[in-house]
Amino acid sequence: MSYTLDMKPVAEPYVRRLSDEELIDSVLEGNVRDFDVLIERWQQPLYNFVYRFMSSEEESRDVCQDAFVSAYKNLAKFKRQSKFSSWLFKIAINRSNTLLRKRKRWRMFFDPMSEHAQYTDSVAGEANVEMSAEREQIYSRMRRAIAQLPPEQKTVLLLKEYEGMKFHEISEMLECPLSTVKSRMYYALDGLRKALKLVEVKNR
Amino acid sequence: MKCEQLRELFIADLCGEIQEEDASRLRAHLAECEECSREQKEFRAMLGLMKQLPQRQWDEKLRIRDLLRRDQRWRTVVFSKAALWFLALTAFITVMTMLPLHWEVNAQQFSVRWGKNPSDTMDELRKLQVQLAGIEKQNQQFYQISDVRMKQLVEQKNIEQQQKYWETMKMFTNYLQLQRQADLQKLQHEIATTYDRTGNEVEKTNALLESVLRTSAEGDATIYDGH
Repeated sequence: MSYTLDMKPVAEPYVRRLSDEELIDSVLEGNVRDFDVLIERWQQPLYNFVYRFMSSEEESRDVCQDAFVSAYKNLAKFKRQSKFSSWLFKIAINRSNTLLRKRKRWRMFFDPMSEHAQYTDSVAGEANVEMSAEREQIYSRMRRAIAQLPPEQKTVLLLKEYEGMKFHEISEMLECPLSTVKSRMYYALDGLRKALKLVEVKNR
Repeated sequence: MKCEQLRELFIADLCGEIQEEDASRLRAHLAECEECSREQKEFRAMLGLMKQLPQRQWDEKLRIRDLLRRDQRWRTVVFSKAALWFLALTAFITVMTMLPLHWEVNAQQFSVRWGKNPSDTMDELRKLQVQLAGIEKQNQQFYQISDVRMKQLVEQKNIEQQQKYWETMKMFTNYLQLQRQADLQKLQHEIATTYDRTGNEVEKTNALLESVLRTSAEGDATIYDGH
C-alpha cells in the first residue's frame, strides 16, 4: 500500500491516550481518522484471535478488514452495554463462521477427501532433533488440534484462554446460557485432548 | 454419573472461576475419582501449552479510508467469485453453441468427427459404382440384342413378325425404362441422403448416374428412331 503526501499522520499523541468509548464518540462527531487509532489498538489481538479460529492467513486478514469496515459502518448502532472489543470480536466471529460454512460447502462439493487429509500430515520425526524444532512441531500440532474443533466450541475456548473473558461475559456475547458455555468449554478441551492423542499415536 | 453432574464445577475450577463453597465439594470428588483427577491434570497441561503458542504478527498498517475504498460495492461485485463463475459459464456456453456451427460450415470435418467411418462410406460408394456400371452394361447388351434381332427380321423381310416384335419391344422398353428410372431414382435418393457429406466420390457417382440415364435414353431413342 502506498500513501500520498497529502495524507497527514494518523493521529496525534493525545488521541492515543483516549479510551475506546471516547474515541467512538470522536468518530461519531466526524473525526474519521480517530477510527484508525481503534484499528491500531485492536488489529493485532483481533488478527491473532481470527487466525487461531480460521487457521488461514489470507482469510483471517480478510475477516479482520471486513470486521473493521462493518464496525465503522455500524458504529452509530453500537450500544454501550458491552466493551467495544467484545462487539468487534463478535462481528469477526460471525464473519468467520459464515466463511467457514462456505469453505466447508466448497470442500464437500469439490474436495471431499481433504477433510481427512488435514490432520494426517505428521512432521517427519528425526532421531536427534533440536529443541526449537521439536517445540515448533508441538505448536503446529496444537494449532491443528485447535483448528479441527467445531466453531462454537473453538469460539468459547479462544475467548476464554486468549482473550481472558469471564464465562458470564462470553455467554452474554454469544447470547447463550452459562451452562452451555461451560459444557462447550469442556467438549472443546475433550476434543483437543483426543486430537492430540490421535496425532501422537500416528507419530509413533 | 456424578462426574457429569460436577462438570460445570470442574470447568469453572480449571479456569479459576469457582466459588469457595463449591471448591470443597469438587476437591472431595477429585480425591476419590481417579479419572477426573487425571483429566484435570491433562487439561491443565493442555491449557498451559495453549498459553505458550506464539503470536502471529501482522505489520500492515490499516486505515479506515483505504478499507472503505476497498469495500466499495462495484469492486466487490466485479471482482467476486460469482462474477468469475458467471464469465466462465458464459464463455463455455458460447463455445459450445459456436463449435457445431463452425463444424456445420465445414461439413466434411463434421462428418469425419461425428458421422460414419469415411473409409466405410468409400467402400460402399465403390460397390455402388460397380452396381451402376452393371446396369449400364445390361442396358447396352439389351439394346445390342434387340438391334441384332430387328436386323435379322428386316433381312428376312418378315413384315408380320417385324410388326409383332416391334409392338412387344415397344411395351418392353417402356416397362424397362420406367423400372430403370425408378431404380435410378431410388439409388440417387439413397446417395443423396446417406453420402451427402463425404466429398469427391459423390461427384463421380453422380456423373456415372447421369451417364447411365443419358445412355439409356439414347438407347431408347435409337430403337424408336431406327424403325
